[in-house]
Amino acid sequence: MIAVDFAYRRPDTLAGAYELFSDLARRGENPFYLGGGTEIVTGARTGLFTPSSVIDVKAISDLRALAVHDGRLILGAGLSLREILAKDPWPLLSHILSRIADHSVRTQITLGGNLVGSIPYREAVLPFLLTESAVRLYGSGGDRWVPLAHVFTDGSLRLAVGELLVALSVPEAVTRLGGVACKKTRFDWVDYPLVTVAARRQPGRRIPALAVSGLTSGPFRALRVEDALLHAGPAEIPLRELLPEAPLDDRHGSSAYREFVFRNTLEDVLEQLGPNG
Amino acid sequence: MAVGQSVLRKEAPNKLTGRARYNADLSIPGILHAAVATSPHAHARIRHIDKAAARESPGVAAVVTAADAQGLKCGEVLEDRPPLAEEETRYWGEPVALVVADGEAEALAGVSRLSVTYEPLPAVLTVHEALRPHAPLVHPDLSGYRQAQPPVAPRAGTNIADVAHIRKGHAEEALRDSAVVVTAHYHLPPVDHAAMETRSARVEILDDGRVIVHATTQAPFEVQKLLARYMKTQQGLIIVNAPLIGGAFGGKTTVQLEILAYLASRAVGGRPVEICNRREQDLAMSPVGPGLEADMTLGADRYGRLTGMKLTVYLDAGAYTDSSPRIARAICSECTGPYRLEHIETDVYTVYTHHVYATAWRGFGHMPLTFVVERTMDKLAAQLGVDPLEMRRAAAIKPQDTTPTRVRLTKSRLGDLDLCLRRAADLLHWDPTPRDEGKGTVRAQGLAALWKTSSSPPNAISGAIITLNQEGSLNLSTGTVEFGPGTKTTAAQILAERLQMPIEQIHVHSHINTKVDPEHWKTVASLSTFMVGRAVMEAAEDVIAQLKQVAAIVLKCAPGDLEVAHQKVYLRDDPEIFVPFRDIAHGYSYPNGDAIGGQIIGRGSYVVRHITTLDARTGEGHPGPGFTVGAQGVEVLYNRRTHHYRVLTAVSVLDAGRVVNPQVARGVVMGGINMGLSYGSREAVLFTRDGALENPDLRTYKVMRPGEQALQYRVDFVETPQLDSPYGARPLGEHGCLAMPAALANALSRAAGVACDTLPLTPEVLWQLAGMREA
Repeated sequence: MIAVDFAYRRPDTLAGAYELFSDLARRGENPFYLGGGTEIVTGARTGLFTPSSVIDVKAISDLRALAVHDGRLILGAGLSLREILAKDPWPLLSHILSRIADHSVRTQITLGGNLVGSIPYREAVLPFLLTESAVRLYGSGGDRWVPLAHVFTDGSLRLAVGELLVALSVPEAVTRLGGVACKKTRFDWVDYPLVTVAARRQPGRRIPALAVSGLTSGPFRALRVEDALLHAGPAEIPLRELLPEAPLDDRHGSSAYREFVFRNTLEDVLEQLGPNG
Repeated sequence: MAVGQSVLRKEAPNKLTGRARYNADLSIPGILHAAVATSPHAHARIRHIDKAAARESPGVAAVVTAADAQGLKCGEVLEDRPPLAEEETRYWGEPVALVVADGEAEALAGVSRLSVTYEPLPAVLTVHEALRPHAPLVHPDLSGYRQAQPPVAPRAGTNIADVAHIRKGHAEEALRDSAVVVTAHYHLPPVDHAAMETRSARVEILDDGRVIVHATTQAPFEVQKLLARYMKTQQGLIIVNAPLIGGAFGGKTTVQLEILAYLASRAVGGRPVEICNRREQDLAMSPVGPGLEADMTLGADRYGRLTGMKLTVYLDAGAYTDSSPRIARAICSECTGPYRLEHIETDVYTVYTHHVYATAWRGFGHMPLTFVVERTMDKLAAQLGVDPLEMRRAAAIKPQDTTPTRVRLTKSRLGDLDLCLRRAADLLHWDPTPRDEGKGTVRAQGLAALWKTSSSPPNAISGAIITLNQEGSLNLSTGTVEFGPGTKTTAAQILAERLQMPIEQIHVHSHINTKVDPEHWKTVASLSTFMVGRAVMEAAEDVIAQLKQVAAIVLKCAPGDLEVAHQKVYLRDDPEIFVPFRDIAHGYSYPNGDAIGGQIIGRGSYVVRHITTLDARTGEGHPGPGFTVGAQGVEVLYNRRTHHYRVLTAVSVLDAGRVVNPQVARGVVMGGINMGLSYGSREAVLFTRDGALENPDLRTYKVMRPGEQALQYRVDFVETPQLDSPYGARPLGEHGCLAMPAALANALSRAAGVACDTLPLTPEVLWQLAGMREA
């Protein structure tokens, strides 16, 4: 049970949602956009998170898109992971999503919620980091598509106050290319990652594109690791120099163990992609 | 007729369809809800509690603090626990105040408006810290506490709540003269019960003085007695109801929420109040299973015969003793494992620390004890270069040997460990040598043996009442609660067998009401079949005697000429002359209408016999009625590169005495295997540096999920009857889990070439151990 009262609103347009947010913020409230609500509910149950106002964005049709337009696959941020898995428009993405939480929870978690929530793993972003992805944002900057790489920095999506993640897109051709995903946990099938790696072959390059979650405080495209792997194997590369920060050290796994697991995972990924990765 | 058959559990159909009702499923119009404000510190002084804002919060009827409990101290053995923290809090999550309100939401809102000023104090979070000189004391007034159920030996001025000993023979000399001696240190973390149903209680104090309690408890009669004592009222006025329980594992023996609900009800003029643990609260506020640190030394002569042992255990009790001193004595009683050892020196310390307190956990200390003993046995076998199976067989305790508490064993009392070991080895296709399976993987096996007697108080009782319905069917009332292993069904099977009648014609009370059901001490210690069974047998004899008495008049013969079966009383020499139960169950009516007899009501009562408390210095005494012995094993596939592993096969062979219900027995053991492997591989209650619970929900407290279990279970039983038990049946409720962590650790130690002396055995732990080996 959630002990505190909060206002719940469900606008059905982007403009309506953004105006509501701005209006509430102006009145000194601390509104939150609500997707699947898994973080809000678990936080509110323990009293760690007490929203005064939530704005449910799942009724906005733009957030429910799942279509191909002008050669790009568009995925609405309000789709649940389960909905995306059922349609399976991009096998590599499905592979990643199928290992987030469990079946029941995946019917709640939304694509957008996984990307902008406070739980730092954001594994759903990994396949998008491997290609020319774009995100549709709605807010003070208007309704715009921007390259993902411009707004996803240091492991999270940089959004202005009240700005709403509407959808993501990738070139449709990319969705037909192969790729591998590999998730390693402390021990359990359903758990947060020690390391999750998504990898995709790159034309004309021996080493695949790599995106990594769990190893550090947020997901990242591992360009420096990719370069290093051109010259040495996963066991030899000077990992600490190549990562944006030291590996996490927590109850899931120590920093040194995460490094060990990451090197093993790289070996697995390279092997699965085969020679000439 | 019924014993030995796989009878469907009486409560199964309603559980299967979801119609079964658990405690929190019932709602009473107008009931109030109590929410608990818990301590955000492991150790702090409570400077001030400002109740005003919470009291003014909408729907709030009362705010209850320690002041309302008038200095009450609770505790099964040592009364060291205030129901609500008094001047100090002693663990993160400890109840500090209750807010009673119209609804759960209002109560929780009230809690958020309660303002408690704490002064954090230094905390001791491990037994190591607690035992340091000048360590902060968890209980500075240790000597002032009332001893509710001695023996317990608190040491004032320390964090030692209790110490229990075994002194038998001359361990020092025996070890000095041994050809081989191994010593090892073990560390096992606390573990949660993680029952599917969280704990809850409802209390209503009526105007006539009766107190109506509904609770998720394994010990409704203990709740009755303790509430009567704490609240200074008659036991007869306390009526405790225990419906079906959704898993217990020892965690529902502590009387905690019942007292809080009572205080809450009293604060609102006796109106009914419910308190129901949220999962997070169930993990943080209600007790866990104890962790421990242990050092064991074990010696053998040059022929591999065990010579002597020393064992020191530091049981991590957490902030309050609860049943830990009794667990300590249970560990003492069986400290050798199921092996013959004449020279023993064992000390078990119960140590206070500043975290959530411990209580019984499936096996009552025997799972960690078995881990310590069975790891040491494997080390000794390795030192001697002998097959660990053969070493266990040679060392197995036998009839005419004596236990650490000097109980002389008989075949009936002990069972047949050697047969269990051989059968388990066969089922596992025992091979102590790890096998390379290619691609960097290794297949390896581990075996471990177990024994356990049931530590009950010397005066534990159990009763049974049988009433006959007019049609000749029977109602059976016993005092055990039903939380899964089918104790009610077992009792019905025993009755059906004794009366030679169909079990479908026997109806059991699935809910307990202390006012009408006869007492059973507590539904713990796997003792239900034995104790309830004895009472049921006696009640059955009573029913038979009454049936024969009436039937003898009807059939114009002596009662001695009669037999009872198939719901009939008949002449032994001519079964076609009979009277059916339905004609005499409620008295026999003659054709002209006049009647004799009356309703047949049978009674049976049992008290354990020859049980004594243990001598304070030597541990001599008789802890329980009989033993269950067994052997368990696992085969693992271990990856040398990643240190991941999978349990391929889990094997269990228990001496069941007599298997009353094969399907249920297998299910109970398989559940135990899974619980043991879950603890062995992933579970641990974790605390932050500040003593906060680090994994307070089931997202972070990991229990094994479907798909992660052993790929194959091989469960079997041997049957050496326990002669004083109905149909020879031995306890087996807890035993399925007892040796699994040890077997897993023995297999992984062999697979990885390391010493797995701690739990849980995650891949990271194996990686660390492998790294230490190489360094």
